[in-house]
Amino acid sequence: MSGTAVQNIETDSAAAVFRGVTFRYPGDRLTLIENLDFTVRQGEFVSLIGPSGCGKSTIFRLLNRLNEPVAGEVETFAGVRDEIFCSEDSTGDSTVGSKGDSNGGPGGTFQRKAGGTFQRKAGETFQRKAGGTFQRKAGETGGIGNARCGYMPQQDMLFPWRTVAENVRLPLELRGGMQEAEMNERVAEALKDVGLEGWGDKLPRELSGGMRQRASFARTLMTGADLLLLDEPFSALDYLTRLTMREWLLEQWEKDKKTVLFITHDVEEAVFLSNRILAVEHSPIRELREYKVPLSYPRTESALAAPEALALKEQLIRLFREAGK
Amino acid sequence: MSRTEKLQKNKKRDAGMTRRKDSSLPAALLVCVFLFAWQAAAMKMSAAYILPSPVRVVVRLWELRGPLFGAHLPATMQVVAIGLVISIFLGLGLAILMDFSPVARQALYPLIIASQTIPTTALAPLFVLWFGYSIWSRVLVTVLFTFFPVVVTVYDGFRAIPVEMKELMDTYGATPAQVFLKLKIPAVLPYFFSALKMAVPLSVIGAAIGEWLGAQNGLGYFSRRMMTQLDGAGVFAPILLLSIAAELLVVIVGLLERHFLFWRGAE
Repeated sequence: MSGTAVQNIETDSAAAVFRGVTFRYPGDRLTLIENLDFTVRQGEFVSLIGPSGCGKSTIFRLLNRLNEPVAGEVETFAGVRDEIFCSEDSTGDSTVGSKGDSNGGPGGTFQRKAGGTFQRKAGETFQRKAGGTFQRKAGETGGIGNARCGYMPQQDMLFPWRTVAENVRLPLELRGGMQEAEMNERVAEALKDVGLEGWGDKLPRELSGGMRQRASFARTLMTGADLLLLDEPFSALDYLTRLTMREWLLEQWEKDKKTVLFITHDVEEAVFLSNRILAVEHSPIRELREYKVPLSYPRTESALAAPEALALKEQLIRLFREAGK
Repeated sequence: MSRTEKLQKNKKRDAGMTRRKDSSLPAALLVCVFLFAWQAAAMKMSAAYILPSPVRVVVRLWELRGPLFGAHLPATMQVVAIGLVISIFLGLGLAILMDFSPVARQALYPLIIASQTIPTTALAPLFVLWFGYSIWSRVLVTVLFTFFPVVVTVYDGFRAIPVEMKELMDTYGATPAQVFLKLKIPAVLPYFFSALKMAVPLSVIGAAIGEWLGAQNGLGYFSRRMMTQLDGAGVFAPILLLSIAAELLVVIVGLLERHFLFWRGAE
């Protein structure tokens, strides 16, 4: 099994697409990303792996629209229409397929308005045509998929002056249009999901590192986004907590059926979690080498002992050793 | 309802922690030693117009309680209050403006620093010429003393906000107003209270100096008048009162800080 460069751009069930993306920071001569193509499909768990400082986080910044590419297109698509939004503008047409169905109903796109808020514009839905490509219904200019991502940063970035529940509630508050009681209900549900039931009234500083990361994950879920961008969320935790947390994350992913793009520099973590691993070898990033993980879900820690898993792990480690030379 | 309950619970716990940790006994002992030495030296010197003993100062404070508490303390506190309010608004306004606009920062920051090189006390007689013996000359001196720590500390507070927190809010689609209300204000609050703790004593000093240089009432003015009468204890009495007033204000700020910054816990 050898890695193959990603060429196949399939916008059919895409969650995120890079199309010929080139990027350098303004005023900087160093190009970080050059003519890069890759696609993440709906419902996938994809790890982005590479040595520290190779520009993995820059890919996230582009997906989050914190930076714009110098050339090329970055697109992000919402999957099945988001239930949180449905509750707001629940007109009759909310065809909600099963959440995990990657070929599901119309994918919504959210456009950042001048004021900076995300809002669904009238008539701006993607419709799947028979041919299987997305097409914009109304005569909008551009046609760039611009769905919000649920970004979870490396540090938990919980606001210390807010209780855990108030932190988790933040994305709902910012979006507005939801009753206090409903927000609290959703937050309580999310806290229960991440195993923090009863901790809502505590301050972040009263929680352990692992608990803070789970609170941060719950907050990420509150964005309602279908594509989750997790930037080395466990790198600051101790080894045993990491083991627990990655099993926990896998459970959450299997349950929620979101698309996850996961940055890590831990080869074992990537093998354990992902459908596919995209490896960054060189800087600037021109291509991502793709490895399919030959393990089925649900996975347990013992799956890592399988010969295929060990072989893949070794192969990845060798790749980075050679790249480092 | 739960918010206030939480807050009180936190406060109680924090108060418990501070009581255990931070004992004021050593400081009190040191003050006692100092006062005894002062008393002994004053009694040995026996020249009350040069060095009145602490006991004499307290006695004089009691004797002069009528004019001091009735007229001069309120006059000074009025200047302190007005000066402090203007300084806080001016300081916050400038800090927010500089945070908001890099151009404003480039234009204002050097000027604000330069304002501190002005020998305010030397200029104060000029203020009297401008404003007469009205309270505005004293308020101006107070503001010149006080606004600086507010601007600089609060502005530093804005700069200390992790950019990652701001970017996280951007990914949630926050508007600039939401970033300001939900991130910047709470994040800057600790810096604001630090600024207040510096500003309050400075405003009292500023008011007293303003009065000393040109006024017809106030504790600074009264102290100076006692000087001309060679009443040593009479010079110290209003100053003692001024210190107590400043100390009380600082304590109030400290209590407010504990209330609003409950999330920081005991330090």
